[in-house]
Amino acid sequence: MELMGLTIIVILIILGILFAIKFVILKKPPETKASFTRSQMTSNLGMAILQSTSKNCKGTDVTELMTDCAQWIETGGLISCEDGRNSCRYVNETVAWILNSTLVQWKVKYYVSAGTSKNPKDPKVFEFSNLKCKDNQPGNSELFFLPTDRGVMTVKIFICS
Amino acid sequence: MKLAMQSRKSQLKMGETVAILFIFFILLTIGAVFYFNIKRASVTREGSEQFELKAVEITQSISFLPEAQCTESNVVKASCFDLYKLIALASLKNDPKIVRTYEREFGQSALTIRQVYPPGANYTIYENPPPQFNDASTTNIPISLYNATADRYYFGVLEVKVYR
Repeated sequence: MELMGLTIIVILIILGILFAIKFVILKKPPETKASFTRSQMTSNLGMAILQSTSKNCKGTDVTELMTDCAQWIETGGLISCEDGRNSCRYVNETVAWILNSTLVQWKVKYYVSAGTSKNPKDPKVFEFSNLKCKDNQPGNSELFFLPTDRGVMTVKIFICS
Repeated sequence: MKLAMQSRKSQLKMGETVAILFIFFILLTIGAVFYFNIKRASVTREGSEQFELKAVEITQSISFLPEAQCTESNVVKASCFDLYKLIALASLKNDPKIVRTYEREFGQSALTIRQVYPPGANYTIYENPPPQFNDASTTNIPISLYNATADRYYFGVLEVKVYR
């Protein structure tokens, strides 16, 4: 009789442990901050890059340089900056520099691209990615649309989770 | 003879009961230790969650701080900080009266704005670390910095460090 009671107690304790493991130990930690940071990063990064004024390219902003590059992508852009670089090279090097000084240092996985064509084989204004991040992976994305003579240019900012 | 047999049987029964009680209490102790460990882990996790929420709250508050935001014709620009407002705020960061004013909003944290492109200065607009802290959570958010005199926008980063 006592053995029966003991068996029931052991079974109850095992059930309790399994319950605790399922709902307490294996519970995924909430990623409130990570999710907030990712969404803020995607929207703010695009806005801040596009709004930035170039350091030494006739006071133009990155949006103007990108638009010029998209319109004259075969020649590398019509705008020629003070240091001799044309708009495509200037905008590529500037965006790469900004990304290397921020997201790369913070070890954030990202994919950033800009282009007018939907065909992936067509040349893009720029395309950067870090830590093998691709836009078909789970994460947060933000699209910015800029009108050009060659159609709408889409700037995609994608942060992998 | 019969009495001695009965006494031995009772002793055996009592021994069995004591052994079962002993095992029961051991199992109860193991269960209690397990429960308290789980409870402790859960409380620690809740603490870190609250800490993370606090960091998010502070980041949101600074992003919409009128004393730092850019405005044009009284229209607020999103994710943009006015460079001259930041310079003014940074010059006041050591004033105890100012620290007390913002303490309710920002608590024990440090707020720094870095000018990334073109490379420029860092502006620490609030700094209130506790005398001793175990951990600090840093959140980096890209922002625009507006220089009103040159009418130029710079690329910057808002760094929010929350201590605990």
